[in-house]
Amino acid sequence: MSQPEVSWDSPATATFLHIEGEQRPGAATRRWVFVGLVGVLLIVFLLSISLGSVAIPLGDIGRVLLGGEAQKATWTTIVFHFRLPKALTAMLAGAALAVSGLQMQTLFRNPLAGPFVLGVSSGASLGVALVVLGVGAGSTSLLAGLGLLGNFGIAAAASIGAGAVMMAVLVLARRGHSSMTLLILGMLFGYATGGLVSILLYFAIGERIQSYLLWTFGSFGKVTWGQMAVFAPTILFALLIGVLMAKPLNALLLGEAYARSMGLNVNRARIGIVVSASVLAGVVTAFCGPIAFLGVAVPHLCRSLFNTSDHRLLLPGVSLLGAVLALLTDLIAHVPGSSITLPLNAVTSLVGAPVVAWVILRRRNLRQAFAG
Amino acid sequence: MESILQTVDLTIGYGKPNRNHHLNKRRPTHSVASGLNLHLRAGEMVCLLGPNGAGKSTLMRTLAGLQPPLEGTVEIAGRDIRALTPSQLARLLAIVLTERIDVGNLCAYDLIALGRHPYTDWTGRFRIGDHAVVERALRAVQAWPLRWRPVNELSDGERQKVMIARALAQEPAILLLDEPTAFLDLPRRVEIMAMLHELTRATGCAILLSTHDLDLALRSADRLWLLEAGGVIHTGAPEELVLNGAFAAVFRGEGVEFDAEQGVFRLRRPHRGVAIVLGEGLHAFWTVRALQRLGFETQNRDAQERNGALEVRIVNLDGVSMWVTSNGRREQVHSSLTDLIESLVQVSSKEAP
Repeated sequence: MSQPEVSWDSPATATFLHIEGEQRPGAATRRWVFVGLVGVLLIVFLLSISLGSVAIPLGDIGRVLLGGEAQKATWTTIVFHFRLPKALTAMLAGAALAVSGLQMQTLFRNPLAGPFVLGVSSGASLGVALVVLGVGAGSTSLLAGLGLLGNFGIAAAASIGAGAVMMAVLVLARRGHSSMTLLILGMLFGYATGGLVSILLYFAIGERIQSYLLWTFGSFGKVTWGQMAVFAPTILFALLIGVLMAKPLNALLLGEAYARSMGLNVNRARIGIVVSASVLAGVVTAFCGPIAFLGVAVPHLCRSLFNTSDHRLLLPGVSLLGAVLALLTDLIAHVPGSSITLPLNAVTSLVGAPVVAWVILRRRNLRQAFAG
Repeated sequence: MESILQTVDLTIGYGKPNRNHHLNKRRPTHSVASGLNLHLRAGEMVCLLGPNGAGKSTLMRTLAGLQPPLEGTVEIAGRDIRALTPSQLARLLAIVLTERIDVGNLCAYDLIALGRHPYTDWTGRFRIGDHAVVERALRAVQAWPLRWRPVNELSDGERQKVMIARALAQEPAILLLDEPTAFLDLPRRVEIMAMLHELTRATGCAILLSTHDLDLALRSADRLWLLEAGGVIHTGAPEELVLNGAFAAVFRGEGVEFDAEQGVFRLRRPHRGVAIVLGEGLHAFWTVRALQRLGFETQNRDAQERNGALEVRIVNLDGVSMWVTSNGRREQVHSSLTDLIESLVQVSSKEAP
């Protein structure tokens, strides 16, 4: 098409340009924060493999990770079959929840949005409850024994449940309902789900009830290598879609009207973000249970840490920080040196709630809290 | 000059567009204005004026492609905007909205960089030319020193400049601004309007802005679009619309009248009689303004009817001005305009029942 003649190089606006060479303030700091986060992630990763009811020396861990044998055969088994998959699950789940939370906070322009708060986790719970309590006859534990097909079944049930809630929230959001309305509806949906699950529990047999309740406590330690073959690729794929959404998410920072005026296909972007966020939240919820607060808290911490709202920085940032915090909370939940295992959700709530409270109090009001 | 944007029999309003006739029964359309044939030429600044609720924002949103027209078309560079891809449209038209956006902790530079959205690849990565465009936009709005400041910490005026620069970073042929001066103090409003006017001349970009600032619009717009509450629109040079009475007609309201001689709106006050001001220069001008504000009809020294009129004489003694009032019965001397006004206000409250 013929571009109309508008000159942006006229004498009045042409100037000596020198932004290229200019070092933006804070760029060096950000680079160091990134390097620091990667370092911390490595350290916490090794610690989480090393510490637990039995402490295993780092040298033996190195040998097992490189395909060798530890001094004691039991150590090899512990590292390879329990702690390594648990640590990988924690990292993936942490990154997934944080990215999902970031996406929803930007899409809904709401600082308290996240997988847990908007009822997406409740949707996933309902899906899983229907599969575990309603169908899945014959299996005593939630995931074990169901095999690959069962994993797909539960992950799909959770994802469909999460996706359905996200879509409902989106429809309401598009009709112009305020963020506060969405939050309240999300909470109400959570209560309604709770009611439905209670009814299912009432009619279910004891073992199923126990495995469902254990699932709601949250745990990174239930994913076996066989399940990892489903879990990891799904999460990585959804994370990839999430990263592809960095540019649309940046445009959405200004709201949908501006985003559209800048050439963003808002509907397509919204669908991409919803799909990515609900798959991330849904799959993590399916395999690890509804993990509280990580998704809401990590994006806020990350915005403060990097002092930016640019999703091209925030997406990798929240992935790293989410992985670190998930490993740390899991480490705390396992109370190193003891055989106690606390419910993971107890730890994430105790860590996450003060973080969110701090964010709100520091920013005086919710609108500013979104500014992180 | 050729028009860059034009509307053909455009009907704006709410509800489903007419193509979906079967849906109209459930959600009736509400048309705000119809039969609009407007045009915008390259390099001109047009102000869209109209009373609240006349549909200024609806018209802006429809022209920007954010809202479908109920009937008719909006054409940009000769093409129906519905035929343009979002990205094509974004390279031709940029907007600045009224609503205050919370952009998180983006710095001004990053916010303006978002305007390069239609030009960058899927990663949003900048090429060398993109940086140059952002810099030019920053300089065009005189916001260069603000570039690394967080947008949330900027004053309203600085913030508005940055939002305009973001729109400029789209290198649009048309810039639509919805009440860009709404939250600004008077000096900032004048500054922004002057800046926008300069932009049209420097770049050839067409600017349409809606505003409630009638006086400023009269003084700076190349043309006005006057949207009446019933959906009728008057277009033309500002002076033309004042002369043919359209301006006064559109804004006629309770207790307000447009003074075509001075080009200002004036509160219609209870008539308090005739005042004759004897004096010269600025002092006389502002004394007249004060008396008009108090409800006097002012006349100059050649007035025929002096009976019963309040005479205000401005005396200058050794550089000190004094106001001497006389109503034929007694004279009073006031050392300042404030004094004069206060004594007149007191008289009026005594007169009141």
